[in-house]
Amino acid sequence: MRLLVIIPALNEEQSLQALLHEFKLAQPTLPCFTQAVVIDDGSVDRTTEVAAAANVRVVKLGRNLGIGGAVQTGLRLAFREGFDAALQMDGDGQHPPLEIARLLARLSQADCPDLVVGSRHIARRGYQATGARRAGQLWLILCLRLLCGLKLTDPTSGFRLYGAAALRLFERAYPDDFPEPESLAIASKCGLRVVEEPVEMRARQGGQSSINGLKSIYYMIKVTLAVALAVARFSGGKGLREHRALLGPGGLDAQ
Amino acid sequence: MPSDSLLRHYWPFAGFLALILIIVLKLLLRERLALQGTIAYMLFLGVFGLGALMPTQAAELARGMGFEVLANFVFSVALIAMALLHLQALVSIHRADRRTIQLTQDLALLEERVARSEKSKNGNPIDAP
Repeated sequence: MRLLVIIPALNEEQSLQALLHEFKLAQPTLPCFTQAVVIDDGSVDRTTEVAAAANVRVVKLGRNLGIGGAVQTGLRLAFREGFDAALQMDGDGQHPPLEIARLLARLSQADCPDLVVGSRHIARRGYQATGARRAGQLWLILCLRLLCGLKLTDPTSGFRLYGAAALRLFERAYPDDFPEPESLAIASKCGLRVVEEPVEMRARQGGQSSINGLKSIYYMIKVTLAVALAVARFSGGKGLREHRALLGPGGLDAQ
Repeated sequence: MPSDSLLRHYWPFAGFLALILIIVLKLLLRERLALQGTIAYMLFLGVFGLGALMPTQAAELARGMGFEVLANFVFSVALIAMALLHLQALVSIHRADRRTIQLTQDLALLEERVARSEKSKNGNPIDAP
């Protein structure tokens, strides 16, 4: 199996060096060939230089596309180059590279999940979201449960592993901004198997969160509407048909 | 109110619309605007300009459509037309944005491939299997 680790980064020069060093240390312990790519989402600091100095692949976007556009760039790269799976982890150091093995092990279990989401709220180890952030997460958990039947604990987690089917779906159609909950709804409605795996996360190691103040209110409204629209767009079998079309001739049967 | 007095009353409005129409035409000639997306807008200006030049007929049309006051008719039609034009613009912007995102991604991936191949040629492969 070949795994591409996608690290979207926007002005993460402070945390990227340590993260990539950690990744290099974890790389030999992983059970498959693993390559990392940093997607520089239009940074104005030394993000690209820091990544290049660590001798990892760097894709520098000409303008800021947002987290969705950056992740999709990595997914497109993985799909084009024939990787079997892709892992997304934040460039701010919240996701320890040593936890990648845990997600990989879950992907190869007998129930064959298509999308493995790392959750910090199952084992409750390490950094936990609190206050308004957790309240927002609980609202999204409720939405995804009611609208998609998904039983998740960490719908905003950006630490996730895409199997072959998820890779095929999302390299073509990945949501733009604040994509995590919406992509879960799309995956669920397209018939992909979404599971969670307990992981330990940390507080961000540098930089600033893009969601704070008034933007968090916009985030909640936007994400709730996006989830509802994704459900409407992909329900009634249409999602499955679209997914089959995205998968190409043979569709899901070709898996 | 007689028709010629109405005409005197409304001609500045028609003149203002004509001015915008001229600006749009100039932008079209300088290729700052595409004709495809502008036709609906010019039609909107033309119809309203005509309404201002023929207020009696416009008032009759308004009454025929159930509007007692001509101003209400003008506002309603203008709002609907503006909403439709705005919708058309939103769709165009969205399409252009999607295309820009795709092109930005393609370009970045292509640049990475070129940089990688150059690095490889210089005997410094990145993360080779």
